[in-house]
Amino acid sequence: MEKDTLIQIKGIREGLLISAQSGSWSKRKEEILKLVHEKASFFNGARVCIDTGDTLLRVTEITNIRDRLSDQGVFLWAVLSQSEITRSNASTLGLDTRLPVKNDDKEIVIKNEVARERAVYIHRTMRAGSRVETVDHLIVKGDVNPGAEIISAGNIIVWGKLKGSAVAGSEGNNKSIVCALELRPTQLRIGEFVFPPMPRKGKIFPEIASIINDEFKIEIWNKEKR
Amino acid sequence: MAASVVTITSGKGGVGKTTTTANLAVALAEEGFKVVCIDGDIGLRNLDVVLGLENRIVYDLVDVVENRCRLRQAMIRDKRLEELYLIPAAQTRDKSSVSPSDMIRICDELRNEVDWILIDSPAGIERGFRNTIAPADIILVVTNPEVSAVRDADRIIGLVEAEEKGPVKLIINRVNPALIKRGDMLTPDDVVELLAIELIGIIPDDENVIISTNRGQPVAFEAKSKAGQAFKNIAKRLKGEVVPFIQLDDKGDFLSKVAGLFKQGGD
Ligand SMILES: Nc1ncnc2c1ncn2[C@@H]1O[C@H](COP(=O)(O)OP(=O)(O)O)[C@@H](O)[C@H]1O
Ligand SMILES: [Mg+2]
Repeated sequence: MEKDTLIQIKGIREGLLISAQSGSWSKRKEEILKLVHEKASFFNGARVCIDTGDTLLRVTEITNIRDRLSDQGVFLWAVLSQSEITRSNASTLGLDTRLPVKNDDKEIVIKNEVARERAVYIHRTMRAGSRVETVDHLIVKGDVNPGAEIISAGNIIVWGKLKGSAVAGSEGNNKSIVCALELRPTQLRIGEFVFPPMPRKGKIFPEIASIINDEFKIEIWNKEKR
Repeated sequence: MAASVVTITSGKGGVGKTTTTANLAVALAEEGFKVVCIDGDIGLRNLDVVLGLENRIVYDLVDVVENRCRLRQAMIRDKRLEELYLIPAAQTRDKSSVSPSDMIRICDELRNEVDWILIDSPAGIERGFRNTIAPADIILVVTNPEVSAVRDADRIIGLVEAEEKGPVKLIINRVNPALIKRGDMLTPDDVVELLAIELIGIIPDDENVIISTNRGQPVAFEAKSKAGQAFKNIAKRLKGEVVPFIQLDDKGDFLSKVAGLFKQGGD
């Protein structure tokens, strides 16, 4: 590819990786579409993944490029991004947001890193198949349904029902907490600890899960105690 | 009146999309509407079989898209109902022979001529799904009361919401009161609680559905069938009528559950 174009293309195991990380998004999009159009025979039927750098893309921007690619016979299956909002938007559209890792670099590195004092805020119900992963704290106002995944290097607060799977302290911080109005996750991990399955209880209270002295702790949120 | 485009979809396959499309088409046509149904399941066509129109096919959807015939020529008129038409899917093509913009164009062409356009979808979330969702005004998600089907329905609802399409309404098909009573099946309540969208129909599990499917005579034609009645009720709700949800059992339990749900849903 030419040197100073906005986009680069690379063949990968899963198809083609289009890297378009700088410049305005509309410019990059037009460049991609132009290239696909010019090299129609090369691209026809291709599965592509686009690396969008740290650009924040709304759902409609992703559907737009996906549909325009699809009109040219190109299937967009994944969007890579450094922005967790972009990744979350792509995942609600059923697109992948990660390339599959090769087996040998799958090992989890525990960095015991503490989240920065920032939070990602999601204001919708997370339905099956959607996923958010962040190095910041995570707040979801809405339910997290079975089949959805939320991952934070810090704490997680769900103002709704947590029924999907959740990881707090994902970089190894065992001091993280997870709280929800209804804490009924399919799977829950805090730092290095994977919680045992939680049976459905009778009455529902807001609860907080944490690890104290290497032990699982689930407490009812009770204002007298605080 | 310009037609409403209603797309019938699901996450999991085999939950009853084609059955629902055929029966709603019959029920709406029996109410006196002009109805066209489009089989969007390219490559796996079967709406024609369920409607008993298989042997009348000359042209199909792909012929229309590729300009081998006019839209009118691909509309097969039903043998029982004057105002019911089917545009069949191609049997030998893959999904990429039709694009979302083709579907929008075809529906726009039909909008001023008919009252309802019903589109049957393939299973899955790739291109075929987007083809059938693209022109939709109303989306009906069909699920069975099973954990895996509900999970897939949730996923589809998320995708439809992300595309900013809708309203999305829920049909729970193959509900079996005996299994519910034994605690072996999710109740309609459980399903609605999780999916949190408006319920528009509960269809009982009914062997007549299978028998009628094999005969190419949808149950909505049969006055006495419970499933047929449930489909007719959905047709009424689609046109804005308020119809109480069907009573699947004479025993109190299940009934009160459905009644409670009815109140909660507010329609
Ligand atoms: N309410 C019902 N009761 C009994 N059988 C049903 C019911 N609904 C659908 N079926 C049967 O289930 C099978 C799959 O239905 P179909 O409509 O083809 O599903 P889909 O189009 O979603 O793949 C068919 O054999 C059909 O007759
Ligand atoms: Mg079908």
